[in-house]
Amino acid sequence: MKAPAALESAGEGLRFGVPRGGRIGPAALEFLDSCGLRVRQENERQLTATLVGMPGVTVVLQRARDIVRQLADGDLDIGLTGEDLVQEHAAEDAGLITLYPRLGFSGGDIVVAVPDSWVDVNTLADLADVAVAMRERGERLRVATVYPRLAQRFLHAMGITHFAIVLTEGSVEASPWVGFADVIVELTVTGVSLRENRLKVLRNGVVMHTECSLVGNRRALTASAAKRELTRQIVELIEARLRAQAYYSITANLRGASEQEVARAVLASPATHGLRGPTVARVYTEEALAAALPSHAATEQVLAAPEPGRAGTDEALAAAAGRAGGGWFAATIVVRSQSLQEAVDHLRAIGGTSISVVPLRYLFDERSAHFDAALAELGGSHG
Amino acid sequence: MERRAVERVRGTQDYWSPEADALETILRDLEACFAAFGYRRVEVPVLEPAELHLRKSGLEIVSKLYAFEDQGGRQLCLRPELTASVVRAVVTRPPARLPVKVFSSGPVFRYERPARGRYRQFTQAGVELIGAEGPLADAEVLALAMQALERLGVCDFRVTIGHVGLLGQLLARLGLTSRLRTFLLDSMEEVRRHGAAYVRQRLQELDPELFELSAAEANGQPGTGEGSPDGVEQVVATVLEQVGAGAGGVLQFQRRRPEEVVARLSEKLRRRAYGEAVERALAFTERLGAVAGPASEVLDRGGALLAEYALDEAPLHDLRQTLTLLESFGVELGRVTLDLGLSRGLQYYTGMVFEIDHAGLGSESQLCGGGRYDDLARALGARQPIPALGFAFGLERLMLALQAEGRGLGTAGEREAGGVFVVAASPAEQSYAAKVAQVLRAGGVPAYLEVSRRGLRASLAYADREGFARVAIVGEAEAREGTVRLHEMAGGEERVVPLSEAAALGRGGCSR
Repeated sequence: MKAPAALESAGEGLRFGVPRGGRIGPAALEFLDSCGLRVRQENERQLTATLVGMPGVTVVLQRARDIVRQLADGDLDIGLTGEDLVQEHAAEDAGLITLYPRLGFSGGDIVVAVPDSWVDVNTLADLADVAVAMRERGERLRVATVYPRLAQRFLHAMGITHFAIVLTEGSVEASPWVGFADVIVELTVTGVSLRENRLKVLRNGVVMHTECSLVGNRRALTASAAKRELTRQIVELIEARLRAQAYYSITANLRGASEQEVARAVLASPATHGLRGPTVARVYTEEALAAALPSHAATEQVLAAPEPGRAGTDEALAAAAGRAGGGWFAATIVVRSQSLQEAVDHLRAIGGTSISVVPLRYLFDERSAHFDAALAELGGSHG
Repeated sequence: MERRAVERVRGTQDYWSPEADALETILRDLEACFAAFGYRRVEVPVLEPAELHLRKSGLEIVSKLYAFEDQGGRQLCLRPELTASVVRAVVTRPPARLPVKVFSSGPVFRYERPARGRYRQFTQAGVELIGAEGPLADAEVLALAMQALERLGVCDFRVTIGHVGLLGQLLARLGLTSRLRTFLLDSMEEVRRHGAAYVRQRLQELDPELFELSAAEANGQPGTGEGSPDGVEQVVATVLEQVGAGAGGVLQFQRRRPEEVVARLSEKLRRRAYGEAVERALAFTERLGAVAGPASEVLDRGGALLAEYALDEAPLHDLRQTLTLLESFGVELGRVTLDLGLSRGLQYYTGMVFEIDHAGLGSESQLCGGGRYDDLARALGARQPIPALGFAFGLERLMLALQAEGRGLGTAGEREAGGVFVVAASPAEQSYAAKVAQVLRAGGVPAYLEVSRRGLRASLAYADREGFARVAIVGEAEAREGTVRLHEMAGGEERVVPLSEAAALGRGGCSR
């Protein structure tokens, strides 16, 4: 086996930062797995791993926050990390590129929250008044946070200039009650922790929404075609997987005179238009076969060798079905999750039976929209 | 392993000759002009307490402040401009007599998005006139800025003068909170650029309750702006006490006093919504922003607008007088326009403000900005207000302006390096060459001693490319006889002279 270190020194291997532990770690591994990107660790304690089926990739397991720094430093080429962490830890000129934003997990909002008891404070404008009042008696509003830069940038933009940041490691929510801060800027997912600590989010106190995203080092991806290619494969799988989540594949059996007639019936509702239109195929019932081929031996012969290419027999079957006043067809369409019920209803209305629904695993387009966008941002000249 | 080069900090510049020389010349010319007006030099630190700029500078500055905590836990910053530092210096050690007229210069730092003409470190030079009010002081400062530009040889500039006191007056009368007043003053430029609707929306983002009905209004009572003692506070205090607020209760306010929470809540419950007042302010701002152009026309239109709002026209009278005085300073008024919507990025201005722009600089066209800041000293801790005003030039912009006008730098090839290039014909004469260079310098001639180990031919080629007009070559014979061979690069004329005469010839005694 090729050691990861060898890959790194070769310079063409892709160093892929994946969060280890913390809030994002487990979700990130699960997400990659669902995309068909399986991370294989030799053992639990090892900090590098491989991606099954992608020998050029070295997975580096790191804290999500360190991934941002290492991406900025060029020690990693691409990485999964929180958008909040990118905003907090990377300078705007760090040379990072977002390859895939909002991957749909480890989401939450960074918010400004104040003690419940501050009944007169509902908005940032109120908080600005409180800050001024504190300054006038020689104190400073203390803001506990693990996001000093985000907090400061946001409060400044909102016209609050008199405050002191109190850097906190963990249990930020408790700090107002422990007594070393007045208000907090913190990530909240459900709001439970804030409520338990008797804090309330200001009405206009959402600093940003954050989710895990895929981020890359601009310079590394510009310089190496091999790294771009490996990145493309990863981005494509993620994109196809995420797109697929919004769709189901539905197959229904329908009676009709011909494929065209069945297709027309299916297309009568916008809910069942599918991505392009239905795929309609003949269903071979025993009675249809019997009608087409009177001799028992012949039936057996066809059943034994049902593979296509026997044009003569197929045409005979189709003709038989036509004589029998139509036949059964299977129509398959891909529909958006939110129109699933509507689609099923329509299929029923046009006589559909045995309606089976399967979630899509991947849905690939002609090209990967996200990767193309990233290429364009990198400078467009890379194929 | 490959070592990455240590790179320049983004938004900073390395200046080499001739740019470095040009910047130096610009600074010297400016300071000579300031001194000619009787201004004295003051030097203030690059490092200041962050608080100095948090107090009164406004978001434009605060959001771009290079602030940090030092090893002693102090909140410091790299100065983003000079005025606040100079005023701090005056406040902390008040001079025996006012006014003081001072000039200062040096690097300032702002976390900008770097572009041509916009850097994170740049150089300012400017004056402050502290302790004087009235049109004569305003006119002097304006005239000084314009004459400094003329002295530099910058031609293509225009001066825009405004007055932030006009909107200030209206805002004070509308009974808005100081935070709202500050915001609206800050938004003058945004109203003009993006319209009142944009600013209204931004205000709503900051304060979603601003345009909502207050509790009093919702109950059909007219709200009052003032804190009239109408029992609301009593009710609020009682309710809070009953739900267990205060010391020992379930509800605690942290470091805020219960009375403060009660007072603010009562005020919110009682107040009339500020929406209407804000609308009036925005409408006025929008109309004010449209009053710009030639002085006499603007003064008339401005007067009519102020009369319509029943505002004091004194600021406009002052502006008129300032312009009249400006003419006595010999300033060409054709360069000057008035713009009543002009507001500078800094919050501390209170009266006349001005900007000087250059036509050839594109989007970063401002060369100079200034104005009157009568409240700044007070905000920084002075016991009484000290009327003051000043301006600052951006030196890098001035250099770009001179370049845009085709003046100033010139390329290295065209420039003539001053002095004599001294080179030994062989290593044996090196010590004699060093002596020759010293004799030249003692005689007032700059001497560049060749220290590289290369052949004579290569040395002469180097001297030629660097633009030296004259080379002193010392070989074995010269060293022995105590002479110097002076070689004219143009034409190649050569003569051997005694070392004692070399300085006189090196100063330009040779024909060209």
